Amino acid sequence: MLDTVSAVFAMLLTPLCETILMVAGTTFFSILLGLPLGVVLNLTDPVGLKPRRMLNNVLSRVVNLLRSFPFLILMILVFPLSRLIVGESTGTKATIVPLAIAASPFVARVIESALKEIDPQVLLAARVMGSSTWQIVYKVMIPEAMPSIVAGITLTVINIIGYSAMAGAIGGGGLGDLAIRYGYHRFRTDVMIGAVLVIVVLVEAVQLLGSWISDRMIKKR
Amino acid sequence: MLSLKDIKKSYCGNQVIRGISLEVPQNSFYGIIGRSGAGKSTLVRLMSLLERPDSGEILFDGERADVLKSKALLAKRRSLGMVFQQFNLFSSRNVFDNVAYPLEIIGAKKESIAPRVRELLAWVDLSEKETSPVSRLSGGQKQRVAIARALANNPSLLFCDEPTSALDPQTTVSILELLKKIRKEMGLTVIMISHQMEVISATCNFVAELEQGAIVSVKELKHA
Ligand SMILES: Nc1ncnc2c1ncn2[C@@H]1O[C@H](COP(=O)(O)OP(=O)(O)OP(=O)(O)O)[C@@H](O)[C@H]1O
Ligand SMILES: [Mg+2]
Repeated sequence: MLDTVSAVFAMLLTPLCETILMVAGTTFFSILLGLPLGVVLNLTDPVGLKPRRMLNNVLSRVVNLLRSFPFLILMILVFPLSRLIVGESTGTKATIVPLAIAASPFVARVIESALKEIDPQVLLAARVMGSSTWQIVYKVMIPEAMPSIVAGITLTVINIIGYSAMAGAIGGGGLGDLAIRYGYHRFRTDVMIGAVLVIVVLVEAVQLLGSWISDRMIKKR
Repeated sequence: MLSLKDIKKSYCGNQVIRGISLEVPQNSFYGIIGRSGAGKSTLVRLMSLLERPDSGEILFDGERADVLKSKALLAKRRSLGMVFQQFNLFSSRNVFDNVAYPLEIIGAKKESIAPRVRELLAWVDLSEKETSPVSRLSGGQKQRVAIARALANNPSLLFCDEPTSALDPQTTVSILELLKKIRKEMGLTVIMISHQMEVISATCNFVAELEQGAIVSVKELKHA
Protein backbone atom coordinates (compact mmCIF):
# COMPACT_ATOMS: atom_id res chain seq x y z
CA MET A 1 0.00 0.00 0.00
CA LEU A 2 2.64 2.45 1.12
CA ASP A 3 4.72 1.42 -1.85
CA THR A 4 1.93 2.23 -4.27
CA VAL A 5 1.36 5.60 -2.61
CA SER A 6 5.00 6.56 -2.85
CA ALA A 7 5.23 5.21 -6.40
CA VAL A 8 2.17 7.23 -7.46
CA PHE A 9 3.57 10.24 -5.65
CA ALA A 10 6.86 9.94 -7.52
CA MET A 11 4.96 9.79 -10.80
CA LEU A 12 2.97 12.89 -9.84
CA LEU A 13 5.92 15.06 -8.98
CA THR A 14 7.07 16.12 -12.46
CA PRO A 15 3.54 16.63 -13.83
CA LEU A 16 2.71 18.71 -10.74
CA CYS A 17 5.67 20.96 -11.42
CA GLU A 18 4.57 21.24 -15.05
CA THR A 19 1.05 22.19 -14.02
CA ILE A 20 2.32 24.79 -11.57
CA LEU A 21 4.62 26.23 -14.24
CA MET A 22 1.78 26.28 -16.76
CA VAL A 23 -0.65 27.94 -14.35
CA ALA A 24 1.88 30.47 -13.06
CA GLY A 25 3.02 31.38 -16.57
CA THR A 26 -0.54 31.67 -17.79
CA THR A 27 -1.53 33.82 -14.83
CA PHE A 28 1.43 36.11 -15.41
CA PHE A 29 0.81 36.61 -19.12
CA SER A 30 -2.95 36.86 -18.80
CA ILE A 31 -2.56 39.68 -16.27
CA LEU A 32 0.00 41.30 -18.53
CA LEU A 33 -2.56 41.31 -21.37
CA GLY A 34 -5.79 41.49 -19.38
CA LEU A 35 -4.92 44.32 -16.97
CA PRO A 36 -4.39 47.02 -19.61
CA LEU A 37 -7.35 45.68 -21.58
CA GLY A 38 -9.61 45.85 -18.51
CA VAL A 39 -8.41 49.36 -17.69
CA VAL A 40 -9.06 50.54 -21.25
CA LEU A 41 -12.51 48.90 -21.21
CA ASN A 42 -13.33 50.76 -18.01
CA LEU A 43 -11.92 54.13 -19.13
CA THR A 44 -13.60 54.10 -22.54
CA ASP A 45 -17.00 53.08 -21.17
CA PRO A 46 -19.72 55.71 -21.86
CA VAL A 47 -19.63 56.60 -18.14
CA GLY A 48 -15.85 56.16 -17.82
CA LEU A 49 -13.16 58.80 -17.53
CA LYS A 50 -12.37 58.81 -21.27
CA PRO A 51 -15.56 57.76 -23.08
CA ARG A 52 -14.84 56.32 -26.55
CA ARG A 53 -17.92 54.48 -27.70
CA MET A 54 -16.49 52.89 -30.84
CA LEU A 55 -13.28 51.60 -29.28
CA ASN A 56 -15.18 50.32 -26.27
CA ASN A 57 -17.64 48.43 -28.47
CA VAL A 58 -14.92 46.82 -30.55
CA LEU A 59 -12.88 45.74 -27.52
CA SER A 60 -15.95 44.47 -25.76
CA ARG A 61 -16.91 42.31 -28.76
CA VAL A 62 -13.41 40.87 -29.05
CA VAL A 63 -13.39 40.02 -25.35
CA ASN A 64 -16.78 38.34 -25.57
CA LEU A 65 -15.75 36.39 -28.65
CA LEU A 66 -12.60 35.08 -26.97
CA ARG A 67 -14.50 34.21 -23.83
CA SER A 68 -17.11 32.18 -25.65
CA PHE A 69 -14.60 30.42 -27.91
CA PRO A 70 -14.33 26.67 -27.15
CA PHE A 71 -10.93 26.25 -25.55
CA LEU A 72 -9.88 23.07 -27.35
CA ILE A 73 -10.52 24.66 -30.75
CA LEU A 74 -8.68 27.80 -29.67
CA MET A 75 -5.73 25.72 -28.61
CA ILE A 76 -5.49 23.98 -31.97
CA LEU A 77 -5.94 27.24 -33.85
CA VAL A 78 -3.15 28.80 -31.83
CA PHE A 79 -0.65 26.00 -32.54
CA PRO A 80 1.15 28.05 -35.23
CA LEU A 81 1.41 31.02 -32.90
CA SER A 82 2.76 28.84 -30.09
CA ARG A 83 5.37 27.49 -32.50
CA LEU A 84 6.31 31.02 -33.46
CA ILE A 85 6.67 32.25 -29.88
CA VAL A 86 7.96 29.18 -28.03
CA GLY A 87 9.41 27.18 -30.91
CA GLU A 88 7.07 24.21 -30.42
CA SER A 89 3.32 23.72 -30.53
CA THR A 90 2.94 21.16 -27.75
CA GLY A 91 4.45 20.82 -24.31
CA THR A 92 4.09 22.79 -21.13
CA LYS A 93 5.62 26.05 -22.29
CA ALA A 94 3.80 26.06 -25.63
CA THR A 95 0.47 25.49 -23.91
CA ILE A 96 0.89 28.72 -21.95
CA VAL A 97 0.19 30.60 -25.20
CA PRO A 98 -3.41 29.41 -25.79
CA LEU A 99 -4.10 29.36 -22.05
CA ALA A 100 -3.04 32.99 -21.70
CA ILE A 101 -5.10 33.97 -24.74
CA ALA A 102 -8.13 32.23 -23.24
CA ALA A 103 -7.62 33.65 -19.76
CA SER A 104 -6.78 37.27 -20.55
CA PRO A 105 -10.34 38.26 -21.55
CA PHE A 106 -11.49 36.83 -18.19
CA VAL A 107 -8.87 38.93 -16.44
CA ALA A 108 -9.95 41.98 -18.48
CA ARG A 109 -13.56 41.57 -17.31
CA VAL A 110 -12.42 41.00 -13.73
CA ILE A 111 -10.43 44.24 -13.82
CA GLU A 112 -13.18 46.13 -15.62
CA SER A 113 -15.87 45.18 -13.14
CA ALA A 114 -13.62 45.71 -10.11
CA LEU A 115 -12.88 49.24 -11.33
CA LYS A 116 -16.57 49.86 -11.95
CA GLU A 117 -17.28 49.35 -8.25
CA ILE A 118 -15.22 52.40 -7.26
CA ASP A 119 -17.32 55.32 -6.04
CA PRO A 120 -17.39 57.88 -8.91
CA GLN A 121 -17.23 60.66 -6.30
CA VAL A 122 -13.82 59.40 -5.18
CA LEU A 123 -12.60 59.60 -8.77
CA LEU A 124 -14.07 63.10 -8.98
CA ALA A 125 -11.96 64.05 -5.95
CA ALA A 126 -8.86 62.69 -7.69
CA ARG A 127 -9.71 64.61 -10.84
CA VAL A 128 -10.31 67.89 -9.09
CA MET A 129 -6.85 67.72 -7.56
CA GLY A 130 -5.40 67.77 -11.06
CA SER A 131 -4.47 64.09 -11.44
CA SER A 132 -3.73 62.95 -14.96
CA THR A 133 -5.71 59.96 -16.22
CA TRP A 134 -2.64 57.76 -15.82
CA GLN A 135 -2.18 58.93 -12.21
CA ILE A 136 -5.83 58.19 -11.47
CA VAL A 137 -5.41 54.69 -12.89
CA TYR A 138 -2.32 53.63 -11.00
CA LYS A 139 -2.56 55.72 -7.85
CA VAL A 140 -6.30 55.60 -7.24
CA MET A 141 -8.30 53.12 -9.30
CA ILE A 142 -6.11 50.04 -9.07
CA PRO A 143 -5.27 50.43 -5.35
CA GLU A 144 -8.92 51.16 -4.49
CA ALA A 145 -10.10 48.09 -6.41
CA MET A 146 -7.29 45.79 -5.25
CA PRO A 147 -9.33 43.53 -2.92
CA SER A 148 -11.87 42.82 -5.71
CA ILE A 149 -9.09 42.40 -8.24
CA VAL A 150 -7.38 39.80 -6.05
CA ALA A 151 -10.66 37.95 -5.50
CA GLY A 152 -11.34 37.97 -9.25
CA ILE A 153 -7.84 36.86 -10.19
CA THR A 154 -8.16 34.02 -7.69
CA LEU A 155 -11.22 32.76 -9.55
CA THR A 156 -9.38 33.12 -12.84
CA VAL A 157 -6.42 31.08 -11.56
CA ILE A 158 -8.81 28.34 -10.50
CA ASN A 159 -10.30 28.37 -14.00
CA ILE A 160 -6.81 28.23 -15.46
CA ILE A 161 -6.05 25.12 -13.39
CA GLY A 162 -9.14 23.50 -14.90
CA TYR A 163 -8.21 24.55 -18.42
CA SER A 164 -4.62 23.42 -17.96
CA ALA A 165 -5.87 19.92 -17.10
CA MET A 166 -7.88 20.01 -20.31
CA ALA A 167 -4.90 21.26 -22.27
CA GLY A 168 -2.93 18.32 -20.92
CA ALA A 169 -5.18 16.03 -22.93
CA ILE A 170 -3.79 17.37 -26.20
CA GLY A 171 -0.14 17.50 -25.41
CA GLY A 172 0.16 20.16 -22.76
CA GLY A 173 1.76 17.96 -20.16
CA GLY A 174 1.00 18.35 -16.47
CA LEU A 175 -1.45 16.53 -14.22
CA GLY A 176 -4.26 16.40 -16.78
CA ASP A 177 -1.97 14.68 -19.24
CA LEU A 178 -0.89 12.19 -16.58
CA ALA A 179 -4.47 11.42 -15.58
CA ILE A 180 -5.42 10.73 -19.20
CA ARG A 181 -2.35 8.75 -20.18
CA TYR A 182 -2.14 6.49 -17.14
CA GLY A 183 -5.57 6.66 -15.63
CA TYR A 184 -7.60 6.43 -18.81
CA HIS A 185 -5.46 4.71 -21.43
CA ARG A 186 -3.60 2.36 -19.08
CA PHE A 187 -6.32 1.78 -16.48
CA ARG A 188 -4.09 3.01 -13.65
CA THR A 189 -6.95 4.18 -11.45
CA ASP A 190 -4.57 4.94 -8.57
CA VAL A 191 -2.62 7.40 -10.72
CA MET A 192 -5.80 9.03 -11.92
CA ILE A 193 -7.15 9.42 -8.39
CA GLY A 194 -3.77 10.78 -7.27
CA ALA A 195 -3.76 13.34 -10.09
CA VAL A 196 -7.31 14.43 -9.37
CA LEU A 197 -6.59 14.73 -5.66
CA VAL A 198 -3.55 16.90 -6.30
CA ILE A 199 -5.60 19.17 -8.58
CA VAL A 200 -8.31 19.50 -5.91
CA VAL A 201 -5.70 20.38 -3.30
CA LEU A 202 -4.14 22.89 -5.69
CA VAL A 203 -7.48 24.61 -6.30
CA GLU A 204 -8.21 24.69 -2.59
CA ALA A 205 -4.80 26.16 -1.82
CA VAL A 206 -5.22 28.89 -4.44
CA GLN A 207 -8.67 29.76 -3.10
CA LEU A 208 -7.44 29.93 0.49
CA LEU A 209 -4.45 32.06 -0.42
CA GLY A 210 -6.53 34.43 -2.58
CA SER A 211 -9.22 34.90 0.06
CA TRP A 212 -6.59 35.43 2.73
CA ILE A 213 -4.83 38.18 0.76
CA SER A 214 -8.08 39.89 -0.19
CA ASP A 215 -9.44 39.76 3.38
CA ARG A 216 -6.22 41.11 4.79
CA MET A 217 -6.36 44.07 2.42
CA ILE A 218 -9.92 44.84 3.47
CA LYS A 219 -9.10 44.51 7.16
CA LYS A 220 -6.20 46.92 6.85
CA ARG A 221 -8.54 49.63 5.56
CA MET B 1 -10.62 86.43 -7.87
CA LEU B 2 -13.15 84.25 -9.70
CA SER B 3 -15.70 85.60 -12.12
CA LEU B 4 -18.33 83.85 -14.16
CA LYS B 5 -19.83 85.51 -17.22
CA ASP B 6 -23.15 84.21 -18.47
CA ILE B 7 -22.36 80.53 -17.91
CA LYS B 8 -24.75 78.00 -19.42
CA LYS B 9 -24.77 74.22 -19.20
CA SER B 10 -27.23 71.61 -20.46
CA TYR B 11 -27.36 67.84 -20.15
CA CYS B 12 -29.20 66.16 -23.02
CA GLY B 13 -31.22 69.26 -23.81
CA ASN B 14 -32.06 69.88 -20.16
CA GLN B 15 -30.63 73.27 -19.21
CA VAL B 16 -29.28 72.98 -15.67
CA ILE B 17 -27.31 76.26 -15.51
CA ARG B 18 -29.12 79.11 -17.19
CA GLY B 19 -26.76 82.01 -17.68
CA ILE B 20 -24.97 82.58 -14.39
CA SER B 21 -22.75 85.59 -13.76
CA LEU B 22 -20.89 85.94 -10.48
CA GLU B 23 -18.01 87.86 -8.95
CA VAL B 24 -16.25 86.16 -6.07
CA PRO B 25 -13.99 88.68 -4.32
CA GLN B 26 -10.50 87.75 -3.14
CA ASN B 27 -10.40 86.26 0.36
CA SER B 28 -14.18 86.17 0.68
CA PHE B 29 -16.20 83.35 2.19
CA TYR B 30 -18.75 83.02 -0.55
CA GLY B 31 -21.91 81.00 0.02
CA ILE B 32 -24.16 79.57 -2.65
CA ILE B 33 -27.52 78.42 -1.37
CA GLY B 34 -30.23 76.53 -3.19
CA ARG B 35 -32.62 73.64 -2.99
CA SER B 36 -31.86 70.11 -4.05
CA GLY B 37 -31.64 69.99 -7.84
CA ALA B 38 -31.08 73.74 -8.21
CA GLY B 39 -27.76 73.03 -9.92
CA LYS B 40 -25.33 73.74 -7.07
CA SER B 41 -23.04 70.78 -7.62
CA THR B 42 -23.09 71.35 -11.36
CA LEU B 43 -22.06 74.96 -10.80
CA VAL B 44 -19.17 73.84 -8.59
CA ARG B 45 -18.02 71.32 -11.20
CA LEU B 46 -17.96 74.15 -13.73
CA MET B 47 -16.11 76.55 -11.43
CA SER B 48 -13.57 73.89 -10.47
CA LEU B 49 -12.96 73.19 -14.20
CA LEU B 50 -14.15 69.60 -14.01
CA GLU B 51 -16.63 70.32 -16.75
CA ARG B 52 -16.78 72.87 -19.51
CA PRO B 53 -19.68 75.30 -19.83
CA ASP B 54 -21.61 75.24 -23.12
CA SER B 55 -21.16 78.99 -23.32
CA GLY B 56 -19.91 81.84 -21.17
CA GLU B 57 -16.55 82.56 -19.58
CA ILE B 58 -14.80 81.57 -16.36
CA LEU B 59 -11.98 83.85 -15.28
CA PHE B 60 -9.46 83.43 -12.47
CA ASP B 61 -7.80 86.76 -11.66
CA GLY B 62 -8.91 88.07 -15.03
CA GLU B 63 -7.59 85.11 -17.03
CA ARG B 64 -9.82 82.78 -19.01
CA ALA B 65 -9.77 79.30 -17.46
CA ASP B 66 -12.66 77.57 -19.23
CA VAL B 67 -10.61 77.27 -22.42
CA LEU B 68 -7.58 75.61 -20.82
CA LYS B 69 -6.54 72.21 -22.13
CA SER B 70 -4.47 69.20 -21.08
CA LYS B 71 -1.34 70.23 -19.10
CA ALA B 72 -2.45 73.81 -18.49
CA LEU B 73 -5.82 72.56 -17.27
CA LEU B 74 -4.25 70.07 -14.86
CA ALA B 75 -1.92 72.78 -13.59
CA LYS B 76 -4.85 75.13 -12.97
CA ARG B 77 -6.83 72.45 -11.14
CA ARG B 78 -3.83 71.86 -8.90
CA SER B 79 -4.21 75.44 -7.66
CA LEU B 80 -7.75 74.69 -6.48
CA GLY B 81 -8.93 72.62 -3.54
CA MET B 82 -12.24 70.92 -2.97
CA VAL B 83 -14.06 69.14 -0.16
CA PHE B 84 -17.25 67.14 -0.51
CA GLN B 85 -20.29 66.05 1.44
CA GLN B 86 -19.19 62.41 1.49
CA PHE B 87 -15.47 63.28 2.09
CA ASN B 88 -14.36 61.11 -0.84
CA LEU B 89 -11.16 59.93 0.81
CA PHE B 90 -9.09 57.12 -0.70
CA SER B 91 -9.83 54.00 1.33
CA SER B 92 -6.67 52.32 0.03
CA ARG B 93 -4.56 55.00 1.73
CA ASN B 94 -4.17 55.86 5.39
CA VAL B 95 -4.59 59.40 6.75
CA PHE B 96 -1.02 60.44 5.96
CA ASP B 97 -1.08 59.07 2.42
CA ASN B 98 -4.41 60.70 1.64
CA VAL B 99 -2.96 64.09 2.48
CA ALA B 100 0.23 63.23 0.60
CA TYR B 101 -1.65 62.39 -2.61
CA PRO B 102 -1.84 65.90 -4.13
CA LEU B 103 1.85 66.34 -3.38
CA GLU B 104 2.72 63.03 -5.03
CA ILE B 105 0.92 63.91 -8.25
CA ILE B 106 2.82 67.16 -8.68
CA GLY B 107 6.03 65.17 -8.31
CA ALA B 108 7.08 66.57 -4.91
CA LYS B 109 10.16 64.94 -3.37
CA LYS B 110 9.63 62.42 -0.58
CA GLU B 111 11.67 64.50 1.86
CA SER B 112 9.47 67.51 1.25
CA ILE B 113 6.18 65.60 1.41
CA ALA B 114 6.46 64.32 4.99
CA PRO B 115 6.99 67.68 6.73
CA ARG B 116 4.22 69.29 4.68
CA VAL B 117 1.76 66.48 5.50
CA ARG B 118 2.61 66.70 9.21
CA GLU B 119 2.13 70.46 9.14
CA LEU B 120 -1.31 70.05 7.54
CA LEU B 121 -2.36 67.32 9.94
CA ALA B 122 -1.35 69.55 12.83
CA TRP B 123 -3.50 72.28 11.32
CA VAL B 124 -6.59 70.09 11.31
CA ASP B 125 -5.66 68.61 14.68
CA LEU B 126 -5.16 65.03 13.53
CA SER B 127 -1.46 64.56 14.16
CA GLU B 128 -2.03 61.45 16.26
CA LYS B 129 -4.05 59.74 13.49
CA GLU B 130 -1.29 59.77 10.87
CA THR B 131 -1.18 56.02 10.29
CA SER B 132 -4.85 55.31 10.87
CA PRO B 133 -6.91 53.83 8.01
CA VAL B 134 -9.54 56.40 7.02
CA SER B 135 -12.40 53.97 7.65
CA ARG B 136 -11.63 54.09 11.38
CA LEU B 137 -12.28 57.84 11.60
CA SER B 138 -15.46 59.64 12.61
CA GLY B 139 -17.27 61.80 10.05
CA GLY B 140 -15.76 64.99 11.42
CA GLN B 141 -12.27 63.51 11.39
CA LYS B 142 -12.75 62.31 7.81
CA GLN B 143 -13.79 65.78 6.74
CA ARG B 144 -10.71 67.23 8.43
CA VAL B 145 -8.49 64.82 6.52
CA ALA B 146 -10.29 65.88 3.35
CA ILE B 147 -9.67 69.53 4.21
CA ALA B 148 -5.99 68.87 4.85
CA ARG B 149 -5.77 67.03 1.53
CA ALA B 150 -7.48 69.91 -0.28
CA LEU B 151 -5.03 72.39 1.23
CA ALA B 152 -1.88 70.40 0.49
CA ASN B 153 -0.97 72.29 -2.67
CA ASN B 154 -1.62 75.72 -1.18
CA PRO B 155 -4.71 76.46 -3.27
CA SER B 156 -5.84 80.02 -3.75
CA LEU B 157 -9.44 78.87 -3.81
CA LEU B 158 -11.22 76.21 -1.78
CA PHE B 159 -14.55 74.78 -2.95
CA CYS B 160 -16.81 73.12 -0.40
CA ASP B 161 -19.84 71.20 -1.73
CA GLU B 162 -22.15 70.69 1.28
CA PRO B 163 -19.16 69.98 3.55
CA THR B 164 -21.28 69.52 6.69
CA SER B 165 -24.43 67.86 5.36
CA ALA B 166 -23.28 64.42 6.49
CA LEU B 167 -22.29 65.63 9.98
CA ASP B 168 -24.11 66.14 13.28
CA PRO B 169 -24.74 69.73 14.50
CA GLN B 170 -21.79 69.83 16.91
CA THR B 171 -19.32 68.50 14.36
CA THR B 172 -20.79 70.89 11.79
CA VAL B 173 -19.90 73.83 14.03
CA SER B 174 -16.33 72.62 14.47
CA ILE B 175 -15.81 72.08 10.72
CA LEU B 176 -17.24 75.52 9.95
CA GLU B 177 -14.95 77.09 12.57
CA LEU B 178 -12.00 75.29 10.98
CA LEU B 179 -12.92 76.60 7.52
CA LYS B 180 -13.22 80.14 8.87
CA LYS B 181 -9.84 79.87 10.56
CA ILE B 182 -8.27 78.52 7.38
CA ARG B 183 -9.63 81.36 5.28
CA LYS B 184 -8.40 83.95 7.74
CA GLU B 185 -4.96 82.54 8.45
CA MET B 186 -4.11 81.13 5.05
CA GLY B 187 -5.62 84.04 3.18
CA LEU B 188 -7.51 81.95 0.66
CA THR B 189 -10.95 82.34 -0.84
CA VAL B 190 -13.67 79.86 0.09
CA ILE B 191 -16.74 79.05 -1.97
CA MET B 192 -19.26 76.98 -0.05
CA ILE B 193 -22.41 75.30 -1.29
CA SER B 194 -25.19 74.58 1.12
CA HIS B 195 -28.93 74.17 1.34
CA GLN B 196 -28.97 75.40 4.95
CA MET B 197 -29.08 79.12 5.68
CA GLU B 198 -27.70 78.55 9.22
CA VAL B 199 -24.53 77.11 7.76
CA ILE B 200 -24.12 80.00 5.34
CA SER B 201 -24.87 82.73 7.86
CA ALA B 202 -22.44 81.23 10.37
CA THR B 203 -19.54 81.59 7.97
CA CYS B 204 -20.08 83.55 4.77
CA ASN B 205 -19.73 87.22 4.00
CA PHE B 206 -21.54 86.84 0.67
CA VAL B 207 -24.44 84.65 -0.28
CA ALA B 208 -25.83 83.99 -3.74
CA GLU B 209 -29.17 82.28 -4.05
CA LEU B 210 -29.51 79.71 -6.80
CA GLU B 211 -32.92 78.72 -8.10
CA GLN B 212 -33.44 76.40 -11.05
CA GLY B 213 -30.05 77.14 -12.51
CA ALA B 214 -30.13 80.91 -12.14
CA ILE B 215 -28.84 83.32 -9.48
CA VAL B 216 -31.83 85.16 -8.09
CA SER B 217 -30.06 87.29 -5.50
CA VAL B 218 -26.63 88.15 -4.13
CA LYS B 219 -26.31 89.61 -0.65
CA GLU B 220 -23.42 90.79 1.45
CA LEU B 221 -23.67 89.45 4.97
CA LYS B 222 -22.46 91.44 7.96
CA HIS B 223 -20.00 88.92 9.19
CA ALA B 224 -16.44 88.67 10.33
N1 LIG C 1 -23.96 64.65 -15.41
C1 LIG C 1 -25.28 64.93 -15.48
N2 LIG C 1 -26.04 64.40 -16.46
C2 LIG C 1 -27.35 64.67 -16.54
N3 LIG C 1 -28.02 65.46 -15.69
C3 LIG C 1 -27.33 66.01 -14.68
C4 LIG C 1 -25.93 65.78 -14.52
N4 LIG C 1 -25.51 66.46 -13.43
C5 LIG C 1 -26.60 67.08 -12.95
N5 LIG C 1 -27.69 66.83 -13.68
C6 LIG C 1 -29.03 67.37 -13.44
O1 LIG C 1 -28.91 68.72 -13.12
C7 LIG C 1 -29.78 69.10 -12.08
C8 LIG C 1 -29.02 69.78 -10.98
O2 LIG C 1 -28.15 68.84 -10.37
P1 LIG C 1 -27.11 69.23 -9.24
O3 LIG C 1 -26.47 67.97 -8.78
O4 LIG C 1 -26.22 70.30 -9.74
O5 LIG C 1 -28.07 69.79 -8.11
P2 LIG C 1 -27.74 70.21 -6.62
O6 LIG C 1 -28.25 71.60 -6.47
O7 LIG C 1 -26.34 69.98 -6.31
O8 LIG C 1 -28.66 69.23 -5.80
P3 LIG C 1 -28.38 68.50 -4.39
O9 LIG C 1 -28.67 69.50 -3.32
O10 LIG C 1 -29.37 67.39 -4.40
O11 LIG C 1 -26.96 68.03 -4.37
C9 LIG C 1 -30.52 67.87 -11.64
O12 LIG C 1 -31.80 67.88 -12.23
C10 LIG C 1 -29.68 66.74 -12.20
O13 LIG C 1 -30.50 65.67 -12.56
MG1 LIG D 1 -25.24 68.64 -4.96
